Amino acid sequence: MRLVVEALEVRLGGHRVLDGVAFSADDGERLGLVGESGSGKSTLARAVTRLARVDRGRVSLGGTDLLALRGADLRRSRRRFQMMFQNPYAILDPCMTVAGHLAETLSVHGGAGGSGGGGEPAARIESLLVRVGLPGRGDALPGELSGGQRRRACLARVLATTPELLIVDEPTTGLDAIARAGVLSVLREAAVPVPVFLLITHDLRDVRALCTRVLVLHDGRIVEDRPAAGFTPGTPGLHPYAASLLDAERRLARASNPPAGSGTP
Amino acid sequence: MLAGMAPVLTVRGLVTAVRGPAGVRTLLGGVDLDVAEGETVGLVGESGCGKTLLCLSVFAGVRPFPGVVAGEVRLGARGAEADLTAGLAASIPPAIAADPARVPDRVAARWKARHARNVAPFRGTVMAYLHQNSPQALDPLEPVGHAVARSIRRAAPSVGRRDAARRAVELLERLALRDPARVARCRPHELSVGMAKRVATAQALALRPAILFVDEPTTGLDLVVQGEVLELFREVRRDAGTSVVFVSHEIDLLSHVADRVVVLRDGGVEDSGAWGRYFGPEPAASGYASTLLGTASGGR
Repeated sequence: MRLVVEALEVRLGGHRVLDGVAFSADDGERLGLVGESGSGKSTLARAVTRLARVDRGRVSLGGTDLLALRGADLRRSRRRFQMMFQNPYAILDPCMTVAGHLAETLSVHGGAGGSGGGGEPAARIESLLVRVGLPGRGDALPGELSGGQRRRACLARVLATTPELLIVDEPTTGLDAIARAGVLSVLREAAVPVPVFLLITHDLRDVRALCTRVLVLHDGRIVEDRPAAGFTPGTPGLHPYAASLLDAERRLARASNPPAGSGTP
Repeated sequence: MLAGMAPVLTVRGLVTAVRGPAGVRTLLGGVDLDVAEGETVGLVGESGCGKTLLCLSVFAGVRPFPGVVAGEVRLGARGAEADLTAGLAASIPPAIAADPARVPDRVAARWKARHARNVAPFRGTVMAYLHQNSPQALDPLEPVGHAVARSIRRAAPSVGRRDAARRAVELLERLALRDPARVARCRPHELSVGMAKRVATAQALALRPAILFVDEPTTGLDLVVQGEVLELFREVRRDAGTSVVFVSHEIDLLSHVADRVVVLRDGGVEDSGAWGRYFGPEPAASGYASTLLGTASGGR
């Protein structure tokens, strides 16, 4: 197993946000994590990537105990587990070009090598930009990019370190259909060489498009862990929250009978 | 617009320009929009096409200058008929309106103040706007239950304080907030973004406006909660006859709540019509509109 999470517990302000979370993933697995707003999805991601204090539990990536890492060891290891954050507007420095962001990441994390391509930084930066569908846009400032393009720039930055674990937090929230399709297709390609890919989302369509397995977080615990293909309404043994999620999706699917007064075709 | 219904809002030839790093750009180039009484209009389009700017233009909230430079916005709600752009056309010379880059800031400030004065008597009573980033609109020092109760009393001054507080908790419960009495005592920073968003929605609904603009009210909410919020919008439209302009990227979701859609593209209306125009057996929409509306449902 490449990634093993055991009995993870995180308390915030006396409230147990994560209450014994456990799951594991092999190379090539693409996990989709869904759950209510406030259920602890982002907290779980931050705990695993050592950005939040963990009260109890174990996280192991490729045999390394991540929670035991300290100081320089932790800094050196960070390139192995990366997160693409939820809000691309808060992540990119408005005064730094896209290429500048990538150059900084490459210089901090040094010879990450791998599929980012070897050679000169400029060539590696361009190859990253090509991978996320922003060829030739290295000179752009964040303010000159659309929401979808900013997300791709953030994705290029996390791919620059060739991580073993890549967590992507709500990459399509608030995007229009066209921008969203673009981000999804880039993500699907980008995830290929990443050993373990974890997608956090509210949208089950994204899970079906990108993931092999679905995890449902509810009240601080993983209540469902099954193949994405088997996560359909009426599946026997579904947790009630998972069932209500699937039911809501079905009810919110395009109306075959739009509201009264909508006229005739 | 639905046939035979009085328009609650009429927008004609709305032109809005904004000063950016690359100079003044005209971002809405003559938009027309009609909203009938009790009608819900879905406003869709790619990011940057002008959906939010259209809402802000109606409410005289465009910044930076010049803002609205031409066009007409007319309110036709029962007991609240008004020309919100009254005096604007007269004070903007056509030559300048045709080239917003030539509008000096102090002139633009005067127009905007005038437009805002026209809107002021109706804002928050007859017309309300639920901003895309609504959690930021909550007062950080005020328990959110007070904020909702304030909206309730604004719409119905005869309601007592205690009664308003009780109704506020009921409304929060309707928005699928767990333990609503506890939530009502919280200040905004104690809530998740999804919770704060629902509080702001409760505040807007409590105003019981004749026309409500909502800008992506379900973005970032989980599916179960999206369903609850949608149900509430349907109920408001049925019981209170509220007209709604519903901005969203979620076409499937809109198909449950909107009577028809208006597709914006690059600051203009590309296409509009009832759902049957797009989803019917013989689609007759523009290629762009069907791409935008079609991609949203399938292909993944």
